[in-house]
Amino acid sequence: MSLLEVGAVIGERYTIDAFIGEGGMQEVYRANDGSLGRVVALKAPKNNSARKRFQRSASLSAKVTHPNVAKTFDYIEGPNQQFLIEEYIPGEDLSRRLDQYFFNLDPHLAAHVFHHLAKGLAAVHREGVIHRDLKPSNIMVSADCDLSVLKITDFGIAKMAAAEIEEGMKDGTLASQTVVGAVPYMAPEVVRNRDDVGTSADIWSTGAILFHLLVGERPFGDGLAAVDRILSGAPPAKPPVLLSASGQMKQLSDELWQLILSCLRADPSARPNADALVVACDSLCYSRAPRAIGKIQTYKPKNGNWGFIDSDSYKDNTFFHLDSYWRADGSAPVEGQRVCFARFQGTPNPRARPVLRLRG
Amino acid sequence: MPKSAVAFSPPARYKPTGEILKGGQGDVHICNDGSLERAVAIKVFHDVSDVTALMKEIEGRAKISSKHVAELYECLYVGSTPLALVIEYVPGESLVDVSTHPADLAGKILLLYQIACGIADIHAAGVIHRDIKPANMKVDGAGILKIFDLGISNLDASAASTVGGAGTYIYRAPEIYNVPTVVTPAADVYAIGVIAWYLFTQKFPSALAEIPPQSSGKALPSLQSVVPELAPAMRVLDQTLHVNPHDRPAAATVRDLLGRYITHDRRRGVFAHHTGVYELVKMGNSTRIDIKPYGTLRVAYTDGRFVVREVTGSVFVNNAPAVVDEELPDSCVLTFGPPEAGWRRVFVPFDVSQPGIVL
Repeated sequence: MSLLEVGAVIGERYTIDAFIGEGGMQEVYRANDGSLGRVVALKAPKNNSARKRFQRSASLSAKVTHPNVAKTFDYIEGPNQQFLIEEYIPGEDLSRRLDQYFFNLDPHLAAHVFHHLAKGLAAVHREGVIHRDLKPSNIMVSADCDLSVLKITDFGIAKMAAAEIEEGMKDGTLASQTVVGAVPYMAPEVVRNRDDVGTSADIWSTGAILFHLLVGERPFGDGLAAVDRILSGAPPAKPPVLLSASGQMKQLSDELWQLILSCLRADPSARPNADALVVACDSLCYSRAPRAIGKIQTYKPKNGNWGFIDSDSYKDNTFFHLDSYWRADGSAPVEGQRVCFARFQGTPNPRARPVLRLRG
Repeated sequence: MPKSAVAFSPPARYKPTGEILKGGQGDVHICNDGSLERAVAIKVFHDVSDVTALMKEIEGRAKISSKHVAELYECLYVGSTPLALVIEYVPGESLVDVSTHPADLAGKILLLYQIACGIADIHAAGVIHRDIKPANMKVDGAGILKIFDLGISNLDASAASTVGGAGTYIYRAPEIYNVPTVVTPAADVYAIGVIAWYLFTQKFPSALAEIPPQSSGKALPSLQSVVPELAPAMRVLDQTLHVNPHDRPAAATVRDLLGRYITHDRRRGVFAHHTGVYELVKMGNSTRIDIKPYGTLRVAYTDGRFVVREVTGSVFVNNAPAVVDEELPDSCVLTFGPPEAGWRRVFVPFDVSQPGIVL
């Protein structure tokens, strides 16, 4: 049930074009800005606790100007309703991309995402703003398989959601999607005391996100079940996908693993700050070669662990070797499997690397 | 001819701070936006006589999506006449102030790269800036270069006379002095080269200062003599200063070529052999791989590239015989041993990665 109808005009300027989604606290629409002739995202609070803090949340996000943070364009307050107008990012949030498109990301793509995330977060913290609710569903990414655009969004929503989460954790029920979605990325000190939120809580969340990206699972489990394991303070065990990383992938995945562990330290003061994360990311070597989508056409496990990928983007097939194939569960490539890959010159066929397993 | 009011008064939402900057195309009032609690720059048009042209320019301006162009928030109207634009405010000095320039070479290349990115984004939206110069650029608190004052400039028919202050004409391309003037995106590209001279030397060769520039036939020196250590990047910047606009590279080409020289000395070449992983990371160094009894290969990391320096015996790059001076692809397999050696051949995958440029 959405609050606004398609065709409704807000502030004599924004015409609602489509309902595009909702979180626990707000609804999101796509709208046309008649004044400037561009497409924007329009957000409206859903309930009273959200309404109370909506203006504050808007001005917090307006303070931050960075390519990896969704731009705040406008804020409109009417007698009964408030609207926040943001940059429209064609694409989807990272949570949906992980659930519906990727299983997990190879170290190169994960490093790219984390690098942008760290840069955006450093800009947020530089303005003295704490996000409070960093999780994949609050990160918008472009629809391409390179994830070339990444923007943090939904500032201060967590504070609106605080009361709701408190309720959910007290009675032990999965009270709402807000609770279930937020907990796995919530630092132990925040789980203990919702008021105890510093910038280091955002750092913990980025560590949990990077884990999720690389491994395809949340570091301490899903939903409220994660609470006890987060509170225990013990670092997550190194997952098999990272232990088994092959020669070329090993170094980068080890570097990313060290970053994950440093962000997930139980003691907030022991975690790196966002600027330190940026410095670490600036020296990570990863490949940003553009990728294409394809299907594994043939794979010969008995004869050298190699095969070919067929793609609409290229006329000829692309050679690949098992060492370049990244998947969380250690499964072997299967003919017909959808993948994305970067392509390099080769003889007789071009070579793919890395090859990342996709859903569907 | 309707002119904008002398005393500009914005809607109540915007509270003037009293700070007013004089610009070539309009005064800029710095205001506080009460709704979002942030400072904004409100640029009031000097001349609103041609509403149709103004609207067309504003629409073009709104289509630009670039992290390097000051964001447009709102257009203020009186009736259907556009009166002013509300734009992102970036505090601090413009690039005219030498103290805003990065001290090191890598920082200067990164700044020129950002300028080229911004201009390429503007051109991708079908817009020409027409007044690219350091006075229209600032670096924000996060280190992002922002370009201002664009899109409305061609309405200013008397631009050459209204641009105040000595020295700003130096960023104007030679063809701007032609009668009639036909300005293409190449005029913006020309300014990149002039800005490069300003960044690297804080002064200009006399040929650039001529009116029109480079009109006396006196040769323009090359930036390669100024920054010999990055000659390939300087060659690109030299090309932006061609007198003939058709001989200048596109802004996107300048961007891509400069982009190669930002982390080119921090690349990592990795050889994966079954005995372990070997790295080549220091520019100027080389690695020799010796696989008995088949052959040896020496690879040097030079000028940002991984190049074959020596081959003995039977060595293949991606199944083709290795050749001295060939550059290795960023991902390839090195094979030691002839095809007839079959499964006894040794395969060494080689991969190159490098720090990503994230602004």
